[in-house]
Parts: sequence; C-alpha cells; structure tokens
Amino acid sequence: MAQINIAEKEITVKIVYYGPGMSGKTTNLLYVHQKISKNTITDMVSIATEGDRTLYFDFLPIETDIIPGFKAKFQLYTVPGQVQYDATRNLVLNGADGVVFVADSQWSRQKDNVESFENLKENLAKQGFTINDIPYVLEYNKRDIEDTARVEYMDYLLNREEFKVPTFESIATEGKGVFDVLNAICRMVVAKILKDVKR
Amino acid sequence: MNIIIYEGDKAKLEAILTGFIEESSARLAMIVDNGGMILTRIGDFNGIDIQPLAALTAGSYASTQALAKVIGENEFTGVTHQGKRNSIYISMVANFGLLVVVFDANTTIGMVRLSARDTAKKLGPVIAGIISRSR
Repeated sequence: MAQINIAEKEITVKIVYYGPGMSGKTTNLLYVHQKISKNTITDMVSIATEGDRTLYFDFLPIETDIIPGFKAKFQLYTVPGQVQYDATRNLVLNGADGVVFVADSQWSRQKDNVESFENLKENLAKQGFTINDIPYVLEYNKRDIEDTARVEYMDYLLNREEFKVPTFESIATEGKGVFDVLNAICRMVVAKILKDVKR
Repeated sequence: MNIIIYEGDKAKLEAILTGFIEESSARLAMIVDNGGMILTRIGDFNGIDIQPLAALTAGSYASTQALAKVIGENEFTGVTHQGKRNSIYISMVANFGLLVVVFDANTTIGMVRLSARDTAKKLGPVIAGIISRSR
C-alpha cells in the first residue's frame, strides 16, 4: 500500500525481503546500508536478533530521486525466515508494495525455498492478494557456494507462475547482485504505482 | 491500493494533531498506517529518527494485537511504553492507522489517553475520506 503524498511531494513504498531462514535477506540489507551514502540513509534497525537470525524484522529506509519532482522513499524490510515465525512474517508483509524473494542456491535448501515461496503466497492470500498482484523478483543467493543448484532448476522450482518474473544471481556477502535486485524491484514497484494512479 | 494525500488532507490532519498537542501537552504526535508509513506528524522531533519510530510502533502495535488474540481478547485498545523520561502511547484510528504519541514529564498518561480518544474521533472522518479516494 504505497503512500503518495502530494502535499509533501513524497512517495513512500514498502519492499519486503522474503525467503527461507538463513538465505541472506538481512545480508542484502546490510550491504545496501553499508554502500549507500550516509546523506540519504538513516540507521538500519534490526530488532530481536538471536545470534545471526532475525526474530522480527530488519528495517532500512532509503531515499532516491527515481521519480522526477518527487522524493521516493523506499522502506526495506526483512521477515524472519524460520518456519515457526509465521505470525510475525505475516505482520511484516502487511502493506508490502513489492517483494524480493531471496532463495538459497544450495542443493540442500531447495525444498525450503519452495516451502517459503508457498508460504509467501499463503500470507498474501490472507491479505486478499495473489502473487501475481504484487511486483516481485527472485534472487538466487549464495552462488559462490560449491553445492549450488543450477539456475534453470531454480527457475523450474520458483519461477513457474502465470507471469515470469526477473531473476538474479547474487553473492550478498560480497554485494554481487544486491543492487541489481534492489534497482529492479524499485523500478517495478514505481511502474505499478504510476500505472495504478493513471488508471 | 495506494493512499493519496492532498494539501487539504494534510492541513486537516495537522490542525487536529496541533489541537491534540496543545490539549495534551505531549511532545509529538504522528499518524502511521498499519504498514509503518507516516501520514503526517506534528511536534518536537528533535533527536528522534522518525522512520524507524513509525516502523517499530506499527510492528509493536501489530504484535500486541496478535498477543491479545492469543489470550482471547479481540484487541488491546491502546498500548503504552513507559520510559524514565519519554514514553509512547499508541492507539488505533479509524481501523486503518495508528495515532502515535511521544510524551514526557510535562503531562500524564491519563491526559494523553483522554485527549487521544477525542482526537481519534476527529481523525476518523478525515482518514476515511483519504481511504475512500485511494486506489
């Protein structure tokens, strides 16, 4: 549910990084936080982190001039990936304008990817949406690990909805692909908002 | 659905929040939607990073409501976080967003809660108008 504030000339958009536990969602946000100029960013908020696992969400607000005449504020959130945190995952997903699905490329995690993607669809359905109603991209993370599934196989598992979506290979720990993913989802979300408004 | 806020909406919301601040002597007040986005804000934000404040209060309120259901309540109508110097009061407005108030020793939780109840009633029609125009 994007907010278009004509009075303030601001558009605020919520983007949620979704995916199975330990797939690299927080690592994506940490890299963005580390690289974006301090002038355009406030601190990243990570709440209730147990070891290296997110228990509630991470939050990172960024501002861009992607839309002429407007300040575009993108609010990046991660959800907790572990299966047992579905209630909090659902709360964070509320009002999302776009989703980055961060899949773990390891062979052993393909089942977790599929289950998490199904969980995303279920949670969107609880909010009255289907996966085709919301802009999303697929990020195949951890491509540097030896035991990775082929991209074609991950496409077969995850990119099989009515509308095929952009997919990206990434190594979030090194930042590879992180901004390609962010740019793509931001552009897709803004395009959808502009289309909705013109309609 | 996209929420669209025009100059007129902003002026109405700010006028109501300004009245609330004057009446309650709270430090600041803001309206945040359920997803954590700020509709409008008024007051003394010096030293406060408002976007995380909005995101965290929305998260906090949402988890509190889920908590209410766990113990068989439909909802908790208001949530207070009490600090040594500053405290936060959060309440639902028009089944859409939250009135988030930060207050200090200049006032009391009772006064804030009382004013917030009246303010929520005033905000209701304005927010309902914004929602009805949204698409």
